[in-house]
Amino acid sequence: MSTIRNAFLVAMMAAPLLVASASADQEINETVKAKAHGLVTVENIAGSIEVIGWDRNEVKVEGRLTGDAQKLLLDGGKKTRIKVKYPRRSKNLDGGAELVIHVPAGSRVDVECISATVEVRGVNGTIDAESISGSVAVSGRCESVEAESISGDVVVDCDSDEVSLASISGNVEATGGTSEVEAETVTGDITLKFDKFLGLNVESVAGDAVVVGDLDSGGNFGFELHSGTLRLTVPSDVSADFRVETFSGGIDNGFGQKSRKTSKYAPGRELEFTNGSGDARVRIDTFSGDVIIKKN
Amino acid sequence: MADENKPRHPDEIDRQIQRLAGELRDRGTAPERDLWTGIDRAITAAEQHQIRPHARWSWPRMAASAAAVLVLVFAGWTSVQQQISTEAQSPLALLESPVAAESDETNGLAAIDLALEELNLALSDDPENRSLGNLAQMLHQSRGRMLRQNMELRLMGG
Repeated sequence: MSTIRNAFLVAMMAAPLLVASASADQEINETVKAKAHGLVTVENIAGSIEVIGWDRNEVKVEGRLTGDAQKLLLDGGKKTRIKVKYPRRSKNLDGGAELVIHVPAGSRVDVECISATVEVRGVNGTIDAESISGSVAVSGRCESVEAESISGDVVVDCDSDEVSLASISGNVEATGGTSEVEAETVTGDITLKFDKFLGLNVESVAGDAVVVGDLDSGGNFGFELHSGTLRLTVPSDVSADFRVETFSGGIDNGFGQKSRKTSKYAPGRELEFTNGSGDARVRIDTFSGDVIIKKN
Repeated sequence: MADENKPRHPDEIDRQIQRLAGELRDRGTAPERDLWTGIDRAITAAEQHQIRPHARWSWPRMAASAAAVLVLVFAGWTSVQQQISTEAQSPLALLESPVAAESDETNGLAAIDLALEELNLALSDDPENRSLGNLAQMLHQSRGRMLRQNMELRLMGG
């Protein structure tokens, strides 16, 4: 009899826990009015965020909250603010928010996450997307893109005037039409394939960089890599003035001009040459990284 | 002067030593008391201290020791359990936590610091090198950016 009573007591004690667990998942389906070119901000810690541009002047948030994701805050108006609330102590969270957000196509979008993945597509305004450990992906035609992650990959496929990409250990990949591009990593690799670069700034500490595209006349194109290898492919008729210097890395020039040693005793090499009328200004500095220039 | 430098016969030296030793013996004063008694007592005490059998364990002392051992074992077990619990988290959960990102930041900072060390060494040999200066500037900017991101991460992570 006492065994039955004990089992009953245990069941009674466990019941609230089971109910709490079952009620953790919360379906989201909310819509607010928004300006056609307004600002939409999204803040979330874990899960996934998908932002999609559409032709309505409203912001619609669908998805679900699981685990520690407590509540969705959605404020409309000139600026639409979407924020997922979590417990104050947010390390080692369980669950998160999986949200699909439709915004007016002309919106300016600002997304900040910690471990959530971010994907933005079909938005024509400016896009600023950041995640700490999640990947960030942006695609479509937009005014400008700023995409950053610390350990996640950053992938951008945009027809945009300005593209700025950064990651610490994640890789950075971008393709597009004609853009002014900045790409920075610490240990991640960089791959940039554009029709034409209006200007370019590539920086990496230990990552390699592959850059393919035409160089706009009059533009500045800077490459600074510490130990990574740079592979730069430009059209054979590019009009550019090249100056390359390495402290100990090698230089392989597909245009034919040979590099020379920086001094009799140092291992470094340098190369200066002009192709065409030399309108674009290309400056490449590496410490121990090799430089490979190819023409196509 | 010549006599002092003249080599002496060994027998003569021995005789002189014996004479001087005898004088010292005769002049020396005997101790006022028998020192050996005290020395003997001290040696015996030291020997007894060394070979003294272990003091017999009293029940309270044994109980206290047992309790201390139990506390230590429990503390050790709790620590091991906590470690196992932490390690038992799925790799995905660890990857998705900001802690993993902090670790990436730490590794990133280490990579930058290593690169700066190499650069500084090179710059010390060639301080006027413009290319090295550009790279050093780039590394310092990266480092500053990472520290700023780290701060933002902490603020957002709570």
